[in-house]
Amino acid sequence: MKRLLLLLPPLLLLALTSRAQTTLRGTVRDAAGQPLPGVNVFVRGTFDGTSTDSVGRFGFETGAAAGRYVVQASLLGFITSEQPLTLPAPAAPLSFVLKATPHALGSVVITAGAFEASDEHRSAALTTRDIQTTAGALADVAAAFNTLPGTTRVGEDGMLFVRGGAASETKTYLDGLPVQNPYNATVAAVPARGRFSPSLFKGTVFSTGGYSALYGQALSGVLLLNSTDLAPETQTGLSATSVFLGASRTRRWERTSLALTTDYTNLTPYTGLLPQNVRWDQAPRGLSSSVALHHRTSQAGMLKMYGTWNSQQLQIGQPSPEPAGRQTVGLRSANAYLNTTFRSPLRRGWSLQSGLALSRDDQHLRPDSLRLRTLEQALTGRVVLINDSANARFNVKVGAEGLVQQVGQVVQPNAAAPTVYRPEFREKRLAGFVESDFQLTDRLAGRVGGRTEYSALLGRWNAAPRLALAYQTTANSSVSAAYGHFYQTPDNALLLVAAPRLRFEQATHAVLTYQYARAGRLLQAEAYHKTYTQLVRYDGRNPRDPRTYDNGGTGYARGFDLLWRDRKTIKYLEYYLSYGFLDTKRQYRQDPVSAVPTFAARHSVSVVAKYWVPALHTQFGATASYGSPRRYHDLNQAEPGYNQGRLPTYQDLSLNASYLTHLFGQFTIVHLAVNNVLARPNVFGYRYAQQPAAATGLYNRVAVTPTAPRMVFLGVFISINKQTPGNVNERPE
Amino acid sequence: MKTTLLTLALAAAAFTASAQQPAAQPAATATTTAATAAPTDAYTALMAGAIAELMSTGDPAVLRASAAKMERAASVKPQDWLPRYYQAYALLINVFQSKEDGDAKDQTLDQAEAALAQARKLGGDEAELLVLQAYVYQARLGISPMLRSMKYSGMVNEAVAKAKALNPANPRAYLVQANNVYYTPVMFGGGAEVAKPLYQEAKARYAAFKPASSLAPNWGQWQLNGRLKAYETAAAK
Repeated sequence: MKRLLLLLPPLLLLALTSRAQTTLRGTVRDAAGQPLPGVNVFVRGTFDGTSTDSVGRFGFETGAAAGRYVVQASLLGFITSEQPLTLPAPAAPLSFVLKATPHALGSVVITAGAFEASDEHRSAALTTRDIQTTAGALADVAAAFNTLPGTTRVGEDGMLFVRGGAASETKTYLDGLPVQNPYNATVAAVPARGRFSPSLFKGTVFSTGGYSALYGQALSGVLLLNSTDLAPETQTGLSATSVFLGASRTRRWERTSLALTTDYTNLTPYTGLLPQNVRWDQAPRGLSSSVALHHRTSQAGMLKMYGTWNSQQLQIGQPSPEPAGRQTVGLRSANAYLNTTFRSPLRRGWSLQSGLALSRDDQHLRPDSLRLRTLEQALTGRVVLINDSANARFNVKVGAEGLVQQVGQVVQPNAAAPTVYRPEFREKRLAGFVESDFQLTDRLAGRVGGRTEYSALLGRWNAAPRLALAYQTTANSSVSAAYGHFYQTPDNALLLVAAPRLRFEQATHAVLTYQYARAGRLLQAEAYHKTYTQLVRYDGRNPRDPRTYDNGGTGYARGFDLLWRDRKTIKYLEYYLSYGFLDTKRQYRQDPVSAVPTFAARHSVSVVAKYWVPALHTQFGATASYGSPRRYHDLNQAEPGYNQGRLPTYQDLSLNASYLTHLFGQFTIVHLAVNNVLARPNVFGYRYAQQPAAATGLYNRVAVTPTAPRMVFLGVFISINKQTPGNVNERPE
Repeated sequence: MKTTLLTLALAAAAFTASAQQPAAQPAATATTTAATAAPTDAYTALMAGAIAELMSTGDPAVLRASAAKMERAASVKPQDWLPRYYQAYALLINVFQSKEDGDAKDQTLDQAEAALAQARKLGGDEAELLVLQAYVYQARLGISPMLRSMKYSGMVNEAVAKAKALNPANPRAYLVQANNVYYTPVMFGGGAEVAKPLYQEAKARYAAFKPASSLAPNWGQWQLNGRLKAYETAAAK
């Protein structure tokens, strides 16, 4: 017993030491030696641990029994570090060094040449709502992007003119498929509107240069529209506005949604009420309908069908320089478009994106006694295979795109005479492309790709390499660069005259971008240089003679773009400021010498602001735009030259307001928009008479102006039976 | 032999004592307590303490520490979904309480969703996970209501509906739904009055609810009582 008692104290001591609280202390630093706060340091398999303080120090007690353990230090974004520990532990402090996790693919974003409108990506320049609420744009995608740097406002046309390129040099892709006729038909000097409503899309990318090998047939830029997946809920929408009436019905099932819309547009009452600069013999009117059926085939599989039909007509009387004083142009058009896409994961990390689109566009144009019918039918198909899990450091995309196209015209130079020309062409074009996104280091990422196309009509191949690199300079800033070759088949009008003689037109882009984005503020500065070769040119005096056509045209465009966006500084105020400087010259089409094209402005400025007033449930918007003088060819200038005339500057101030309320118990938006509030008489160009006046020897001319001094839009949009009640205390979508 | 036995006994006693020590204090204030459960192993006791601590705080720093503690708990019992669930919960509540900017909050919610995904992988209670997911969507919405209300309020409803379909007895689904209505303006069919019956239904569900185990999710009662009390005081005025 005595012996036992004698034994007890040391035993107790032993028991207590083995069970005693051991204090573990130390520091955690990153690879560069900087202390890391917030690191979870603990004895694995026990609750004992703590997080490091602001200087990377930790200290905690463990009551774990004697034995071998592992101390772990972990922090998100770093590789977990471990150290063996034998308890009872020595008093020496522990020291951990955590290495940053190799960044996953996509952590460094290539911003060169692209503006994104998305709600999901924090680096996106715009949100999807921005497109719909930009004052002056009237919910037109192209008009909204026209407020970004790198574009020139060409008021008589309404399309996107990117960095010295013509409108036809920017192509629209809907869910990966090229769209042949993305704008509604129009006549000269009446701006076109996009065919697709911005509400169809969850994300839009507008590339002003150096775009990916996945896309082609655009010398200047691409507009990528990505439609929404399943409609969120069942609802009915009604709209009544100063220019159209609309109804929509959306039905949502578990894995399927169906949306039907129909709009009837008629500007007759509107043009009767408000002053116009032109005479409308028949104000624009039309009917358009659409069907969208989306079905989720699996967790990540989606089948989408979107069909839209549209018909419209108008007749306009415009001022003419000829003795008659007025020319009349009539238009009747019908367009049908069906787009079906399917995406699904396959095996071993591969996934499939495929699509098929059919389009038919029929236009009857009647300028005075001329009769011109243009019918374009096209079928496009696309298959892309993507492997995202080939490697953590790169992915692979391989794909093919095909086009079958038939374009025909019926030209009757005089409605009274039976003479008729029927130019037409058929094109079959096949493109193949491969691309890989890669991440070289934590800060350096890139994209390399190539695209090749074969045109049966031209009987030619092309091969276009593309490369982009991005370097993350700090957590909030990056520098990226893009380079590539771009090819485009000449426009339909040129192919109709001289198809077999022509080749692909070509452009080369080099783009360097700096982006800083932090907490609701974004600064993007971009410099670019583009060269054009193989542009089609012809003799302007003999535009119908194919022998005068060749690919001898060249040109260049260089400049820089600035975008500053701020959503943070003033509560409820969002604004952005864009400036573009453009230096460009080209000789193409009928240009006798190299000159500044008529659609390029040296300086373009836009300020877009949106201010939400919670007490009024109203968002106010304003857009101010400035464009420096564009060029025109002045036939009367004493000194000979080409495109030597300068138009007055372009200035526009547009305002809008959206009031959110409740009508008949249903969520309602009342929208009022006024474009060109100050009724500034912008001049877009001049029309010259065919012959000089006998008395003066000068060519008579008239200015091309907007169709009205102002545009006023008032609309009421009602959403019925929404399950999630709209919130009038939040900004409108 | 005797000595060995004695040592073992002492060691065991010391172990239990030290094991229960951290759990002892918070357990007193805890709504969920392991004390009533019959046999408590060390893990259960420590988890109960950690949960109690998590449920009794609104301090963003403590919530972060709680999330770290849950990560440690996950190292003790890697096959248990509960530590990951509570880790997600702690990070989520941190977002509601912290004064950080939107980007930082989004990153915290990314971590919460990663923990939630791990809990799902471990075969956690799907209805509870969906409720927490709905709560995460509410937090995402709250970061930028102007831009996100349309998208996320629908996602909250969808997740809550799925949770209810799986387990109509889960009271937290009703609470999260009631909160969603509560914060919708009166003129749009939301607001305090419309939410009141939903809170009352939640109350009935809470009364009938028995957690699957002493550690299983059992939060929300306190928040609900606070809301109902606010109705009473409003009525009394």
